[in-house]
Amino acid sequence: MRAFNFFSPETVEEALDLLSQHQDSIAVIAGGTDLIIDLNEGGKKPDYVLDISQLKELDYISESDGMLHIGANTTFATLEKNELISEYYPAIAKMADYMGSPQIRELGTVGGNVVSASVAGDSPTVFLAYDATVVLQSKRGTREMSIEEFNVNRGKFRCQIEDDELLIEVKIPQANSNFATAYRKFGKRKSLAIVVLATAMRIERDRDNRIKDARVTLGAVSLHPMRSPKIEKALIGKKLDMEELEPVLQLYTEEIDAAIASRPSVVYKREGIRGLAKGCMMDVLEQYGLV
Amino acid sequence: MKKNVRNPEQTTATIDTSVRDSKVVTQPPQRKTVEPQEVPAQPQKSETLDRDFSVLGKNVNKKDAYEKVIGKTQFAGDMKRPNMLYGGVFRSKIPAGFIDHLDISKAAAIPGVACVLTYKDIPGLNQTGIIIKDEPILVENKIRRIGDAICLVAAETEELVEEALNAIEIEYDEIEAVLTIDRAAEADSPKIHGETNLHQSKHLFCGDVDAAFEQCDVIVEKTYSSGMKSHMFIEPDAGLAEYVNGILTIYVSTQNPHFDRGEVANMLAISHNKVNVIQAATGGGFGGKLDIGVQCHLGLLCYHTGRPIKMVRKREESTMVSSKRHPMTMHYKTGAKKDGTILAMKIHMTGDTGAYASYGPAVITRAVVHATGPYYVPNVDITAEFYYTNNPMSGAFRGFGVPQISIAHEGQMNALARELGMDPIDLRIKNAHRVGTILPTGQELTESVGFVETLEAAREKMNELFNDETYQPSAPNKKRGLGIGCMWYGIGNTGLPNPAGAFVEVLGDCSVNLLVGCADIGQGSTTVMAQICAEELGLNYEDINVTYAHTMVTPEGGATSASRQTFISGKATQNAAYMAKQTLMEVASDYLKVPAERLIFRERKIWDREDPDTKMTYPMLMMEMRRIGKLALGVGSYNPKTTYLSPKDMSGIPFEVYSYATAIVDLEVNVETYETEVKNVISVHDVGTAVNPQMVEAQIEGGVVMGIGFALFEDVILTRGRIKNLNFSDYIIPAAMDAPKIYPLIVESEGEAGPFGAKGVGEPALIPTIPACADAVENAVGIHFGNLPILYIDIAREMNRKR
Amino acid sequence: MQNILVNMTVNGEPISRETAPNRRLLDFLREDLGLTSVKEGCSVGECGACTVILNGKAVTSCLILVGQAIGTEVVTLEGLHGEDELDPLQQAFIDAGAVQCGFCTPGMILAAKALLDENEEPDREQIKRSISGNLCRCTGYEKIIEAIELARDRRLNK
Repeated sequence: MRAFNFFSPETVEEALDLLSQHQDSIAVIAGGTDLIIDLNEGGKKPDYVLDISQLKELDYISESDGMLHIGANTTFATLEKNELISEYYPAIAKMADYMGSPQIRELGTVGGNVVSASVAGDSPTVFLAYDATVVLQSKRGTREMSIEEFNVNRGKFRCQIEDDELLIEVKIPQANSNFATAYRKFGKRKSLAIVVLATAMRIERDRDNRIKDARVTLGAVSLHPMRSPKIEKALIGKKLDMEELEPVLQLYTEEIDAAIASRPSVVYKREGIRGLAKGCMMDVLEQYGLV
Repeated sequence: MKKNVRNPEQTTATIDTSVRDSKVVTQPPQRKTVEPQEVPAQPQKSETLDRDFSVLGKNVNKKDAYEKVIGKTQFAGDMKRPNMLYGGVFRSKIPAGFIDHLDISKAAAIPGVACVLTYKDIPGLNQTGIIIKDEPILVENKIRRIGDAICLVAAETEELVEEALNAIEIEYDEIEAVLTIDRAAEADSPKIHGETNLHQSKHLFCGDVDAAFEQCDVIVEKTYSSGMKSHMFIEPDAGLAEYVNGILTIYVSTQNPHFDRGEVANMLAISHNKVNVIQAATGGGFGGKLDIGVQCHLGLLCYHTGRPIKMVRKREESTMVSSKRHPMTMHYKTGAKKDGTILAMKIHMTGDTGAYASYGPAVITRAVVHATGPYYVPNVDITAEFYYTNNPMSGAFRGFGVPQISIAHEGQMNALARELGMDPIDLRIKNAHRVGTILPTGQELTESVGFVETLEAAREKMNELFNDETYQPSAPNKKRGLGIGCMWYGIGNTGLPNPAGAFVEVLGDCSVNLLVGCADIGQGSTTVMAQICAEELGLNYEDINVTYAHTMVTPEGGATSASRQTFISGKATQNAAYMAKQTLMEVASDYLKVPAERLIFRERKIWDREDPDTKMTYPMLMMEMRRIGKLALGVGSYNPKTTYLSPKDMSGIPFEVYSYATAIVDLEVNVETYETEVKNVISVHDVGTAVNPQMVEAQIEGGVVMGIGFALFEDVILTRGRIKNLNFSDYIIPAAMDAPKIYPLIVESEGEAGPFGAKGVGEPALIPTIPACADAVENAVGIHFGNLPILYIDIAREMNRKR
Repeated sequence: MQNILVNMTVNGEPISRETAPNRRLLDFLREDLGLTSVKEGCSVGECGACTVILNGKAVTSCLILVGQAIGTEVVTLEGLHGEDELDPLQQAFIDAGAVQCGFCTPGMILAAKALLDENEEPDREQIKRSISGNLCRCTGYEKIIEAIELARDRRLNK
């Protein structure tokens, strides 16, 4: 590992000062589950490493103003054990449950996972389905953007973060009894598995138990998780009943075919996606008490 | 008409099955099936065997366990010496070519770099290899694979080693890389060694297959294949070298210290007793630490610098250059009568041995000898060819080709059972090896054949666990299937001498120093040797201290491979103990005035079997020894009773004994996500005598999970000779949640060979689960998979092709 | 590069060492403190051999910079047993035959220790989940699971 100077500020303000000062050659470390591998293998050679894992002010999960706020330093283990999450945000709970391993979940943070924006990452697919907004902060101020806008490569980053910015928070609209959310992932084993294929959905129902609104996302089929307006459109208006939903599964296959037609992995993904999607639908029906 | 008839009664052109049956001994010796008990809250070291042993058959604590649970065990990477250097290797980045230009001057000039060495710095032989010495220790000119060692660096810190490696300049003259065996076989392909890429070919035959196929009611013909696999021992290769009193001493993670010693000495052109190889604690091997890893490189750097030096491979480097399991393709044609009697098998197999021979010759020979499976087949024709390519070196990996061919011989049995509408266990029992069976090599099995008992025990357990009513998938989108697989496995090297030795000294206080060459890589041979020694001497397990795998002190142990150590080093240990005991018996006989042959030595006491009151304690005996000036010393060795195999038809006696096993796999396939989950595995093993039942179970359980990995998870991904999945993140071995509930069962068969009748289980443990997984998938989803691993992507592809 | 001062509690002992910041907690424990029970198997957080307990949680020490562990309490396998008594997990690993090559053993025991300290009566599935970040190539996990069950029962005096 190449030499670097190490900063471990205790406040966000201090961290932003350091970031702005050394922005040309500074790497931010939170959980470290990605960055340390890069440093160790020489993939990254920063002059400075900024440890934000000590910023306790970024470790929170709370509901206010109609939103669920997840501080960037929240670990997956915290998500996994948080009662608010397990009760009202089942797709996040499921994502946290199956992410990495117990050790990785203790270290890995929501902020780190979102900023890394790996193709095989767990959280982006889920946050996109939840219509998440990311909050970015720098000496220059604070800005917000939808995770969709955020997930666009910029320079050395796989997202829109600027060199002097920190991701502070991910926030999503607060759950209510009309929302149901689900996440299903396929990995090559039951733990220590990156995402081979994933899908998430957030369904909003009307009084007649029909789908009023749908957000459907597909993970590991393109550079970033993608939404599928086609599937969403097909779902809207459908009765929340497996028989009625099942024909939509074919659209998932069509979406995969369109996204990765020439990839060898399409052989699996075009078929497996229906199973994952069906699992999500079943989870949704179960949350509504309709099975 | 008749070709090489080994047994005229059995192998004639027109097969008379009754003749064959009359030749088969149908009443095997008495055996007992022992089902291990659940681990109780207070572990009982209870007698689980009904044999009259005082130490054998007991679940004694492993000799190495205490140090390992308190974190004190020193693996080579944990060692440190004052003034120690670190070593590294500069490796080729291309699979095939020549070194056009090499400049080490910049690297050598870096302050803190002690030396940069090339092949020119090797004073002796620049060749290594367990069977054929075709691998250069440092490449002179020709590059045969990605990762070929070209230069060595020694420096004061690991960082400086990296810096020096990055400062070495090289230009290659790249040539066509031979990446498939089809290309390797072509006349105009570049030749990797010598004049041909054909590494070895074999032909084993007996009877007349063509005529026999005409007698068959059913013929099943299929092709099977098995991909390249990586051992993925958790400890990457590591070692430390230093001079101790003028002796080049190498502590290393290894399975074969005595072989290492010779290779290092030959490289330095010094006598073998000037090199001392001491096995450091070894974090798994599975065959991947049989080849020379860091030993020669460490030796050469230590020789040139005179300073202690340590090398620890990074995971990626370890995976890149350690040997791999041979990818193999196997074409089988099996013919049987309507009643299930197998008459003939015609088999052709090919394998990719990669850039160097390594254990290729052992793999091809063993695969051919075992190709029929544990079944009597009177007419056999087996051909095999292994080729060199510019792919990673294939070598030894738990089972030496038998796991691969088990996919085929068991796939054929299951296909035959389906074709005949027969119960697959009944079909196997009908054709099973028994005492008296003649093998295709002409060898007659004379003892210790417990195959049928493994089948029966597996069936019994299966019926106990599952019944037609309760055996249902756990969810509507899942399909569940049971599969069966069997195997046989010859203990020791195939048709070759492979002796091991032991030294024993009983000390005045009745404690014992036992010195064995046998490398313990975690499987527990040290414990096994102590149990055997204690049993033979009539002492307690705790009385035995074992020094092992230390070439200045211990005799040749041979490799910890081929499931041979319990059988061979164990027998050597027993022989050494017996030699020491003979002196003890003479002295006790004089003292007690009882003929020596009537004396019982047991649990630190000696008595007359005909008059138990005529007795003495061991301390008394040792006092008497001291009084009359005698020492209780023993030297023992053992070489299995085998013969070289005929180059013409491979007839001969390849092994003295064989282990047998049957596995039943219960799994589910999610037919929507194509995920496979193994839920239960029954694995029954005939081990002769279980020296330590708990450790036998542990071997079986580890083998089962590795077998699941083999069948359903693991596959080395190659791109132009480069392994793409070098680490655990993408070479997928099963983790705890992927492991099923395992029911390891032990069958004990009787035999004279081996220490107290013990055989081996290390590799057998792996094998039967593999074909059983394939069968279970087929029974679950109704699709035959002949190519392993069967990955989610394969199941998705095939199920939707069918749809 | 400026060295950093690392204050932490390791196996109950406060330590204070100056070290280079480009070291992982793994390197610091192994090289600076000589705690070689902490193993390096993969360097990417997959094998779990480098697992230590940090502030009560099992973590992979290859994925933590030493500077990130300042002020924490770290436990390695060396710190588990007392003067003359093994931790119930250590004893159970011996008794159940859960130790083979021993390279995964330190991480396994510590992952299990973190589990039992948080949940004193885990079931088989919870046990499997707790060690799902620790790869073992020898045992097939069965005897390791049995050992953890045994230690659980002994801790509860069952």
